[in-house]
Amino acid sequence: MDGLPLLSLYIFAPVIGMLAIFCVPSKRADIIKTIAAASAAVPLFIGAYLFFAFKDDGKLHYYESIPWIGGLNVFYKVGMDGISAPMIVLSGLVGFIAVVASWGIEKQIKGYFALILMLLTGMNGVFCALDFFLFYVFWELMLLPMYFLIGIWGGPKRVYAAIKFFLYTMAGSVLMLVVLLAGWYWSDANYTAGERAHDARKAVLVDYAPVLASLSANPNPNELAIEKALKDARLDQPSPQFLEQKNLKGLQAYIQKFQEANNNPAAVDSLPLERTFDLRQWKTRYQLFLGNFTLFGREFGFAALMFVFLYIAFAIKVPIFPFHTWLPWAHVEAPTAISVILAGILLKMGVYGFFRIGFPIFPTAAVYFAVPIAMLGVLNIIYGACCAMAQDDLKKIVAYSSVSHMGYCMLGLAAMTETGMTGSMLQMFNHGTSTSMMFLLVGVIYDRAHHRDVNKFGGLAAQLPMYTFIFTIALFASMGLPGLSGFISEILVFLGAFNSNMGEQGSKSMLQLSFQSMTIVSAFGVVLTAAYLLWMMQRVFFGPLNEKYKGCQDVNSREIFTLAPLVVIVIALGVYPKPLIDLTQKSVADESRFILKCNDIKGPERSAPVETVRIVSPDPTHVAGTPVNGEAH
Amino acid sequence: MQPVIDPIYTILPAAILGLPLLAFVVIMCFGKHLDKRADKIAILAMLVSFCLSVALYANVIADRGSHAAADPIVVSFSWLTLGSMDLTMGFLIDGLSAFMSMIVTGLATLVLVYSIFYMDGDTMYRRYFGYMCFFCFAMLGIVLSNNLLMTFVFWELVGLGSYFLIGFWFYKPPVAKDHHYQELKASYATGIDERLLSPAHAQKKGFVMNRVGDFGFIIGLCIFLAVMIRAADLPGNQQFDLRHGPLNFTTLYAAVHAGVFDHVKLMGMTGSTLLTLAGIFTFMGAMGKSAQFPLHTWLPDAMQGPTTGSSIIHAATMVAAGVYMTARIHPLLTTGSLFFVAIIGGITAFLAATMALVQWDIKAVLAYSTISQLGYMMLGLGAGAYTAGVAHLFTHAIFKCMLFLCAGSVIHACHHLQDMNRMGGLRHKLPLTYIAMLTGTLAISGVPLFSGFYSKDMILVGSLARALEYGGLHWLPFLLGIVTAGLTAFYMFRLIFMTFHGEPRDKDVYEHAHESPPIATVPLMILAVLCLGFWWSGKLNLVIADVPLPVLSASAPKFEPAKGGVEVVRESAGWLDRYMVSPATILPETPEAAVTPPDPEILEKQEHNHHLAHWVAMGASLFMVIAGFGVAFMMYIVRSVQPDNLLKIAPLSLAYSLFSQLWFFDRLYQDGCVPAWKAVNSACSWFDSNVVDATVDSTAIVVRTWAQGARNFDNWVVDKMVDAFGWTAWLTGSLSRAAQVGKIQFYVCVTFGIAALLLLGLMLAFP
Repeated sequence: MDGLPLLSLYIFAPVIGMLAIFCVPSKRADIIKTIAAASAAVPLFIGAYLFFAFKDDGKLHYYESIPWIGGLNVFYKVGMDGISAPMIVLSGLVGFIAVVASWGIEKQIKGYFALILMLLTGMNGVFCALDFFLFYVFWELMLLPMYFLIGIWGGPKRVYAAIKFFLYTMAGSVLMLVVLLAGWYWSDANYTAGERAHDARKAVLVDYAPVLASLSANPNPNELAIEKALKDARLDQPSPQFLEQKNLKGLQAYIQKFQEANNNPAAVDSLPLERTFDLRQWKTRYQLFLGNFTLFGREFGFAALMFVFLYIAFAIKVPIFPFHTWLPWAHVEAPTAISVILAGILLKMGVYGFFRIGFPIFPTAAVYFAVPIAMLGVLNIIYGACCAMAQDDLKKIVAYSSVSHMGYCMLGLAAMTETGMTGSMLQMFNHGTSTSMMFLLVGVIYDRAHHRDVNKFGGLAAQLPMYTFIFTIALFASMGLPGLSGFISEILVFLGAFNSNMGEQGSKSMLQLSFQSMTIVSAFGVVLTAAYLLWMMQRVFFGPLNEKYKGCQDVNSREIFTLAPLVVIVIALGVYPKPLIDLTQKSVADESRFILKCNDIKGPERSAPVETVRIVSPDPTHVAGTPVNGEAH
Repeated sequence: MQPVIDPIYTILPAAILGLPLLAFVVIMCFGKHLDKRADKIAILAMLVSFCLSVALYANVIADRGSHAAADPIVVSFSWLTLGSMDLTMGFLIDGLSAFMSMIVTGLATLVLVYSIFYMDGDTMYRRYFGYMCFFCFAMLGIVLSNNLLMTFVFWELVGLGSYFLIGFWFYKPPVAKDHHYQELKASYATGIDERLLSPAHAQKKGFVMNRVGDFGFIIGLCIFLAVMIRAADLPGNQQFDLRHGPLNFTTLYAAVHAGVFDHVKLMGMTGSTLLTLAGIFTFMGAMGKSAQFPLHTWLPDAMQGPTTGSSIIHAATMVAAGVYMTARIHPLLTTGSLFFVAIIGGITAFLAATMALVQWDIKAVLAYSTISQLGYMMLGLGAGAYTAGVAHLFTHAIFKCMLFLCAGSVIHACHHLQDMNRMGGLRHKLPLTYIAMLTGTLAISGVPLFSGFYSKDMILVGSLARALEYGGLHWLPFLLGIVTAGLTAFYMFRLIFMTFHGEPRDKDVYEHAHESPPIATVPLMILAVLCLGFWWSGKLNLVIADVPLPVLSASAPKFEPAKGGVEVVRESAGWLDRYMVSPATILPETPEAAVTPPDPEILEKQEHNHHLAHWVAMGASLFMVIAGFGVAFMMYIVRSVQPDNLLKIAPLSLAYSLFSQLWFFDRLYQDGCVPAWKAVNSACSWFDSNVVDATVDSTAIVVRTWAQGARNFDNWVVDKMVDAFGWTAWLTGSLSRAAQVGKIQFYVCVTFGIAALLLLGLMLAFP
């Protein structure tokens, strides 16, 4: 199925649903809801299909590339590899569940469902985009519906929360924009020659492979034929430089170079390199941000500055202390379904950003800042847990628990070991499912009791056995109990971080602090997590039943419908995590090795050759004779 | 490279493990249709599981004989693959695991049968049996596990099982709010805050305190895995393939033995320092699970669960898990970490025994005695007496299970009364329970001919031999052990005398007491028979096999050649000494050890030490038992010494208040640590909203203020400047308008006036 535009369908199905909803009169709530559920089900099924069909081999699949803004060399490029696979599955799942969980919305149904579908398109797009420009567009696309969804359908302080969320994230986006523009300007010839440039040119060659294949039949192509070939290959406006060659000779000479390079690997180095937003190209030109600037009498690399910008942009989303304070507000004020999306998907976008952009493009800066990143991760774990324990609002407890749990992602990521990064990736997925359950469950009890104060419940276990059962599963999954999904990610993060040698890299790293000591501190998080979650459990469910809730209804069938899939996933992946690991492991391992290799570091784990360029064209058979990206390995 | 393994070693453990899980799932899913028949499913599953365990044990012994420990059968399945590493799940079958699974399933079967009587009429009868099955499933997972990670997985599941069982009656209010509180008050140790104590509180406390231990376990896992991964990359190392489970016990034994720790540097440490650290961290897990000092306070609170649940928690599962794990990692422990284990064990044994001295609640006495006995096991393992520690785990499991069931029988007979102050003389009413409880008491006190005597004696011998060899602080565990032996005899006979002897203190309770039905007493009798020393002594060979005299060895891993192990030859070698031997004794010798044979002088000295230890330890412990019994007899039967009179002696009353306050541990945690931690949390929360968030908000305020300033500037400066033009034009206009009056005379006047002025000016300028 590599030929189908599966990912485009995955991204745009919800927005098509949104357009359909606009055509329905707002009185017909039933039709609106049906359309919404149906169009949210498309990503769900695609995600489910991919979960079973996709096995990560470290390469891109379902790749689509369409020129978008020719003058800037912007492409609509989407694709899926092991880094995005778990997120694509998760996003489809949580998006659908959020739509179904919104059934009870009564205010302005049409607007609500239209916005939530737009939101789904934005977040699905972020996880598929391979072009930084496209990534940025989807990233921003999410903000707007989110702002309105919190600001209109939220709790009492919704406007404050919505503005805070919007502005905070915007502030991060501005920094990301700087990186976006700087990278584009510097992506042509301002990086050094040598092996990296060679790899970059090889990557360009792979993009041109279909053109060459279709021209190979014609020994002396005319302008029309070349343009047709470029068009067929969806490369008709590849770059500004290319446009300058708008005469037959120039075009021929241009293509000639590629043909030569295709036939003679030594000629690769004479290929033109153009400005691009393509993230894979940026990765191969990882010395993009060369040069230094002086600040306070010290010299800094631009790469470090750009990395810090990007770090802040993503850190706000993750959120990492001290950029996290929008989160409790947004989570608490948002309606249930939006809290689910916020915690289940939105936070993952930050960590995903590190996986997709921050680390591969700035491998040296990533290693340089590994210790501070891990330190902030550890701070997140402990500080988030402490804050969670001090809360009385159920939603706030869960919100701060997210802060704490995302800290594990950052710790595992910064460790740069295969184990740690895999753990981080798994933690993203598993936190997505378990915390979605938690928010859904909090929503269920809020619907009945109309408050969320932990101290005003008591003994609900006797009244709501089914609810208690599901809550217990969600809670223990969140706590990382073996047999439920949270465990494996948590333990892999610990094992991986402990094994890391990122803290002992001399001048390559900013601070020298052993990851072992940081892991020991963070492992104390398991005690704190157990303490605040079980304390919450005790106050809400145990003890004598609060008489007020004697007639309280247990979970209804719609709520079970939203919760049951998550229960099944949490248990299944807890018992047998292999499918999830297979979804992501190879790419993550490659990324870890790539970073280590870029820094000339020997990792603690058994090393294997790095695959430098990993691109698969839509149809590999077109790439006649091209050394496709480390196939030799 | 892996030898072919008889499939029976895959099928049997899988079935042993799977049946209780299956029963749990069936009971939980189809419970409504089963209703009261759930008990039969649970018992059937457990019984079959027990029979399979017996078959497994027989197989292992027949197959491997005395090499059961040396050459365990390992079955591994890949669980998840990470690059070049496979983390496996699987079974390690040797004498220890096979026997332990017999103990777990056997005791569970008996407890479940007893529960039919004890839990009768409970609203959650069905769920109880489900939880019990789950609990045993988790414990069996630990028992059969072949690697440290799998042990940790089931370790946590055991914690979950205990969470459910302790909080079984979750709806109960805190004890202080119970309407029987005034009657109950006397039986609660003053060290426990009864305003908090409830099943819900106890289950949370148990889980969280266990997690403190698990924190250490996780770090231990991390160290072992990190070392194995780094060792796998050592040049020329083909020996320890990460593909076959780097955390497998057998792999770890071999790796530690081969000295991989010497080649790996972690946290600036290497060799035995690092290994000691790894051992101590991992042992922390056992300290939580096995309620060792200072993490022991959760276990007495766990009494809030059903008594039958307590009996299984205190005997074969949960607390046994810690000891079992320590036995499994025993070959990985260095002299340093063994000493740590022994000291913790010794302190725990002593402290808990002193707490047991002053309890009035019949279950509480048993609870503290469990902690104390667990301390003994750790003491034995820490002294290097592996067989002794393991043997005590077995014997204790049986007699403590029985003691709890007896206590349950007494409580049931007295209509849920647990205060021993209101019992007395019950032996006439509950003869069978009395016999069983007396047997258990004799066993736990270490009276010859009963099971506890053998295991406890072995422990004391081991620790004395250790003390003789190493000297110094190594004497401490032994001395604590000896003192505890006396305390044990005292508090157990105190329990017997107060409950079953003397005059009934509460006639009403006495009158209504009645013996339990056979469904309860038959399990008691079976267990009582198993408490006889006959089964455990060296004289009985469970399997007839002609094997040479095995050795009981206390050992540090061999790569630490400075001080070799104590080689203790036992004269009366029984089956325990054959099949429950530490793998460390059987691992191949390291080159250094082979090159330098042990000094005959040292060997002779060790021999001498052992003989000395054997008689001294036995004599001392017997003396202490008699003394303990004697004091109890004087105080509670002859009554020549009144407890109240003793309290008038200042040091004793001081000790009494110290003991009854539980050495202030609960107070310290409840009134010290918890509020302190809550203060930290509040501080964090305050910081979060008033510093971090306020900074964000103040940024907004700054921006807004700036914007307002800009607006004001715009309004009052820029715009006014623009307006000023208008004003100027208007002013000019209005001034000139004033001139436009429209009267010809005025214009003429002005014209002439100006002309006159000009003329005047010209005349003045050019005179």
